[in-house]
Amino acid sequence: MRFFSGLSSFYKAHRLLINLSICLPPLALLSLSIGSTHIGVMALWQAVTGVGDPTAGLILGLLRFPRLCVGLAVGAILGMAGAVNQGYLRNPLADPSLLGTSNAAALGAVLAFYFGFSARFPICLPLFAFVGALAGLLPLLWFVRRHNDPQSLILGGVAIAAFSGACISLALNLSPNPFAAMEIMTWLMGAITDRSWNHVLLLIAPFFLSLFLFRRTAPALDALILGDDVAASLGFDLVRLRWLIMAALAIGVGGAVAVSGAIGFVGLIVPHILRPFTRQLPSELLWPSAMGGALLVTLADILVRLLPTQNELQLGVVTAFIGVPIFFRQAIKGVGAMKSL
Amino acid sequence: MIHLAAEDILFKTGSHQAAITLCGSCSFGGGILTGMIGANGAGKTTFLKILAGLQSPERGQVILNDRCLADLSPQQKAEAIAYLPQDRRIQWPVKARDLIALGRLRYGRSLNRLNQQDSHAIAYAVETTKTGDLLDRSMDSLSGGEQARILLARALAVDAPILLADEPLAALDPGYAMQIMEVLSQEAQKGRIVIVALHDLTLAARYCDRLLLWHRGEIVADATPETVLTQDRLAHCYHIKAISQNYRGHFLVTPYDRVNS
Repeated sequence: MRFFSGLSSFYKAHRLLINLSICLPPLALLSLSIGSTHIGVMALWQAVTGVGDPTAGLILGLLRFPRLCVGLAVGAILGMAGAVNQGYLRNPLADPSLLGTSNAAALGAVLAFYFGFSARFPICLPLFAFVGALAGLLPLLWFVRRHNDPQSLILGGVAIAAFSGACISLALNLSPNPFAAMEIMTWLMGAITDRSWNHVLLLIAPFFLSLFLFRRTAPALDALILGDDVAASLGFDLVRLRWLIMAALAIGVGGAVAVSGAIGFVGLIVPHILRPFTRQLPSELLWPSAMGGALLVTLADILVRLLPTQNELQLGVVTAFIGVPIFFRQAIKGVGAMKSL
Repeated sequence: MIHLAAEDILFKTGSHQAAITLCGSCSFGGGILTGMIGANGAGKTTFLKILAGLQSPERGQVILNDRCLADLSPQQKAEAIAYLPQDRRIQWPVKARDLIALGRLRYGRSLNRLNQQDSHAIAYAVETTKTGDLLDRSMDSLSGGEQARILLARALAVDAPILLADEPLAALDPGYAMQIMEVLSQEAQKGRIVIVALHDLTLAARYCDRLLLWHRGEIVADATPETVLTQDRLAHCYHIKAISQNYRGHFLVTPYDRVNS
């Protein structure tokens, strides 16, 4: 008898990742060609090889390619962060914002707006968001030294999220003029419009570092299925795991929010959708969630450009509208999966 | 021969945990099934966690084969001690075979990289617990008794010379409970140290070779079941009266009434 059908399940796990990857090239092509200026596949090819219309080449090089890269990277980070958080907190409702990281990063960015740093030095915006994410995790680290269990961590995270949210509201409230408030509001909705190669450069380190760190948590997440004590008895260092996850969250989510604003629901919904296609082991969900997140953000970004609205929709609004119905369906169907909450 | 000993342990009350005091040494050798009994909150779980190295006592130490448990690396501890907790919650509806395989996880290794030795250990655990026909079921579709057997198989799959089980019989019907006690007894006979916390005095008396009776954080008796389970001690520690008898060579204890205090 083969007890751990290692090989077949290995293929099964990777089949999901492969299927998701197949969707990537067509979606990427679509994302490059759709916009206020339509660029067909032929024109795309010509622009890439440098023989076609120079305008199309500029649009692609300066706008569409960075936008695509930012979308993919942000989606991948958020997707994997969601999968790790759900596994670590043993909670199917966990997402990257649950520990307050997203809100704290957003607060950092809002401060950059509010005090006008972002207008003078554009680089301040992502830097402040990054610092905000780190600052948001510091009180949490202090907090979990006393209460080392997932529930306490969630409570601490909710407190930080609420505090950051209150500070953002305060900034909006005290905002000197309606335009500044409007600018902050729009940014908070999340978007990857008009992102440049500078933004891509800014994302490179958080992208690779956070994915690498998240990936290292995989065996421990599986062990945690049986609870803290069993995981510890199997030789996993849970204190180290907590540090690893919090560092990866600050780096990854901080970087993502810094570049794209608060794009909600990706980290929550992607692992949810993909979980039934795995053996339910948290470790199996990490890479598929990264790929799924990248696909979802790219898809939402295409929709943003296709929908005929007066103002271009913000990406965070679209992901929320895609996410809520799926989530609701899961909630109705999967009461069983949620009963352990 | 494997040897485990707890020496001069003092543990003050933690959250959800009883304080315990152990004067002198309490040692365990292989080949014997040791049962820990005592009323709720008497210190059984705390003591098991200290033996497993999951809790550090304020004073005293646990010695594993002449080495202090606290000085061992997490990896060394994991290879020596399998721990089956009282808490049977399982977060995700994983398949039984994957859950058993979790016993083979070691730091840095993933479930997709299990080797020949791992699959032998898993096969042994499945055979011992007779769970072969449950492997493809998901954990949330199993009954409480089936889940308990799978979780025991997970602990056996660790293939450690020491097995610490915290109330593995909670909420099981008599058939399943006796099956699990039989497995634990077999494992002890193979030379392992098996220590199990129990609430069922009848099963404890029937299967264990040695009983530790806990009362308010202290061991008040440590001997064979016949010696430990006297009327006086049952009245003192549990506030119950029980019939003790020998039936076909088995020592049986059956509680029948409460002592009015």
